Amino acid sequence: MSAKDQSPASPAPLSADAPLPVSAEEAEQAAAALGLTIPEACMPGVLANLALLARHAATLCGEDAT
Amino acid sequence: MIGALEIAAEVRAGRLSALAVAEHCLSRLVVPDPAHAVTRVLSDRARAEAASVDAKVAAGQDPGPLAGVPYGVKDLFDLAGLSTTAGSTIHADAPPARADAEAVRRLKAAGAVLVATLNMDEFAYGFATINARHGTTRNPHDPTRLAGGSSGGSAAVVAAGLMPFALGSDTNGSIRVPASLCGLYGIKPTHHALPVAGTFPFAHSFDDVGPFTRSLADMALVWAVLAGSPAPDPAGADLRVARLGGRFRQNADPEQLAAIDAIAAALGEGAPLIDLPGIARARSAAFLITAYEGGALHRADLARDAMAYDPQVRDRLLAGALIPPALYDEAQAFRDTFKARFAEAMADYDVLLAPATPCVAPPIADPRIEIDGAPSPARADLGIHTQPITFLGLPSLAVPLRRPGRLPLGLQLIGKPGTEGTLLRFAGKLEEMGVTGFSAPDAARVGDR
Repeated sequence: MSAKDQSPASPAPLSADAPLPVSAEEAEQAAAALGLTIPEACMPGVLANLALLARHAATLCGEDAT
Repeated sequence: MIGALEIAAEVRAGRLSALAVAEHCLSRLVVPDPAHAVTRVLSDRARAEAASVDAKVAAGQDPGPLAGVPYGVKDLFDLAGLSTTAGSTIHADAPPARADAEAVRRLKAAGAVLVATLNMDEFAYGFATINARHGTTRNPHDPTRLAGGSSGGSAAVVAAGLMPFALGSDTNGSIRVPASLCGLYGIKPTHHALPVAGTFPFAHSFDDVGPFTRSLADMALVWAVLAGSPAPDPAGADLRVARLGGRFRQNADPEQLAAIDAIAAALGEGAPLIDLPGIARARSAAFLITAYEGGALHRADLARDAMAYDPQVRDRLLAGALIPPALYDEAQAFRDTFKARFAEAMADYDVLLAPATPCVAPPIADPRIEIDGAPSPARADLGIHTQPITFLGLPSLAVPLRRPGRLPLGLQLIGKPGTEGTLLRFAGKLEEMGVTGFSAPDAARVGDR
């Protein structure tokens, strides 16, 4: 199977103003808007990864980042 | 096993049978592989391809520049008749590929013999080759340590001497990181300079493919076949070299920095230290773009069966899927700004020197590394020095420091777009200086496979 065959359709966008989810509730809401359900067993790992992404977002947006 | 150049020369001259080479190679490959590097042994295909090469030689036809050279591919290259799994369980029973990936097609046309598929982080999302389905690939230099990733299986089999070269993919450092930890040459080309058609994607902004080899001569040979022409070398005779400072020197092994400084000192006019502002932002932007694109790519499968994913990859992809588009757009916008800034800073240089990884291979039992003085997961952060270069789409050749009997460490030689041949030429100079070169693992350790 070619790689292209396995690519899903373009994702429906979240609100352009939406911040990264922080809490389980926010993550569930954001996921639901995309047609995703975050299994309960995955939530701690997803929140840990969201926290890592938030640190990278802060670095990207930080004026003093080097 | 001898190198690609030597095998091809012997086979082309009729002094060595391609089938005999293939049988020797196949005899050393087993599945399940105790080193968790090989995922499938392709015995029938290898014998058929080798027999075809031998028939051409017998008929007086040109068998190609890689005649009879065995090789393997990371588990994300399409191979006709096989499922492209990308190291996953969820695609283990996918419909078979109808054709070979373009890179594989070119290698086959050049007479190379495909013998195996090789382990990786699931869907290439990691720098560790910790794979829930196939196991954690062991480093041939020390089986208790990681081989790096995500192309860890490819690096491990070449470093162990099981085949002269292997193909991997590099989205954020997935060739350069395992090349550094396994002591090999590994190249990330100028973005899309080598064909990615027929490979399972990860993050389309950054995905590239490239080879691992033990020698520069083999790297040049395989490059020429994959690209269709020798690696371009537009720079002048006297190469202008600089060292990357700042973040690149804050998280590095002191011996890497000493080697970089020794190279600078040995060059006639030295190699100045240049500090580019924005490196940390570049790395973070690349991290976010990768997470977003990976999450988007896998959204449909995650919605259907998230629990079928490797748990650590699944949680990363789910989080990536939740990144707002505005943040992705901001990361892409910074990319354009940073590219212009970097091009200006690099205008006066042909080669930039930087560490490939921040440290030697971490232990499998505790796969963490130290970043900014704190422990950090190797899976996410071994690519701290490769990711900003990926962000720019620049070519980067990982070269092994000459460290016989010790754990490998690599440097990156970074060039302007379309200058891979220049990087190979400078790497040759470093070998002549005695600074770099492949050091074989202890045979007893390879025997632990």
